[in-house]
Amino acid sequence: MAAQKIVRKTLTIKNRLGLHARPAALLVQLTNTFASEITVENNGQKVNGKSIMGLMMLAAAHNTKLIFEACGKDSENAIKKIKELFDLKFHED
Amino acid sequence: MPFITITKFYEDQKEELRLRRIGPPNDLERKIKVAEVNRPGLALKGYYAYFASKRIQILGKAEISYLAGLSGKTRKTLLKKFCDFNFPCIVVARRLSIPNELKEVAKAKQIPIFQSSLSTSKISATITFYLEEQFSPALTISGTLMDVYGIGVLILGKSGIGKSECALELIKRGHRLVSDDIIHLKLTARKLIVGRRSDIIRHHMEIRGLGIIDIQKIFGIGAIRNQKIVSIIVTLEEWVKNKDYDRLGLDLKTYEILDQWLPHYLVPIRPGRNIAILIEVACSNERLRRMGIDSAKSLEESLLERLASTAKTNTRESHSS
Repeated sequence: MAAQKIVRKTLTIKNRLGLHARPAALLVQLTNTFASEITVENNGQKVNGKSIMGLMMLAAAHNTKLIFEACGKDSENAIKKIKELFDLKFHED
Repeated sequence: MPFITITKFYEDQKEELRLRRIGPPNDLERKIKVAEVNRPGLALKGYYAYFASKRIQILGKAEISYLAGLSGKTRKTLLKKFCDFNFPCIVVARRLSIPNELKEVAKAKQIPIFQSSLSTSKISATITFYLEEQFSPALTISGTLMDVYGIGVLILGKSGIGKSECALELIKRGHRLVSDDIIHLKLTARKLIVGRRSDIIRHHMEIRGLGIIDIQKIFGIGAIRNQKIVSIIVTLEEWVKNKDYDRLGLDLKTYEILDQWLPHYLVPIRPGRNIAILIEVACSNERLRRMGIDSAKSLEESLLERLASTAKTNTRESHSS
């Protein structure tokens, strides 16, 4: 059995418009490629990182800090790729 | 180049235009190649610049009364020059009497003459509409065309993906079948795509395992219609893992048919997805969109507004701390 490794990472929203529908769609497209369970937390509110509606509900604006948690055999890679997408500001700005 | 023969024109339009053939048949295999008509008033007066000689010529009260006022000799000379242009045929309005000279020169040139009981403008409009229909671009494709809540939805996808089964489910839910498998599409003068069933296949459907069934006989007249304007296109395909299917519906995809771009949805099939309901909802959503309600856009707008005001608060807090 593969190791169910848990990886946590806090990421800051850097694009000006925040996590609106388009970035949320990009993010779920990415998270759905991983086998790991992925959750995202904002201000105590935790949602499934593979759900577009969940991500939009977070209403994460510019400069908001989100806590990502991935659990599964590809959790490390998942967090790495998510960080890349955040660094790219979701291809915006 | 598309054309129709005078025979076809006469057969198709004799009732609508109340046409009568006058004199000998002359050459009924002549071709009509343009979707317009002409009133030759100025031509009869001798002015032939810009004379539309490829069009059907309509003679109304003005032309006939002008001809009647001339001497027989002048009339013949004028009409001979007129008929030298070899147009497809002549239609005389209001059952007006036709000068003998016209019958003679038309016979010499083998130009058919028809008489209609309608007025000139009514004839022009009817013939133009008919010819435009005849000459409009057409295409026959494989797919399923349904009327769902009044929206014409063309369902495309590979053979065996389940288009017919999906259509059955939609029919069961009270929607109407236009055609399954073979659809004749036509571009109208108003740039709308109209889909029609085949006259041979009618509303028959082939269902794997059941064979050929007749939808009209099984479900009744309320379950079918003969044609429908195509408003949206749904393509069914087997779910491709990790393919980026539309999650938002913010950017409308389109599909080109006969030079027109129609809204297009690519819907992946997977066990447990009820495609009929998805198509029903796609059509309802299209109706909403036509009424100016775009659900994806309005959710995105309210979210952006909220994000903007939160971002402002964040900035203020970081400044004060």
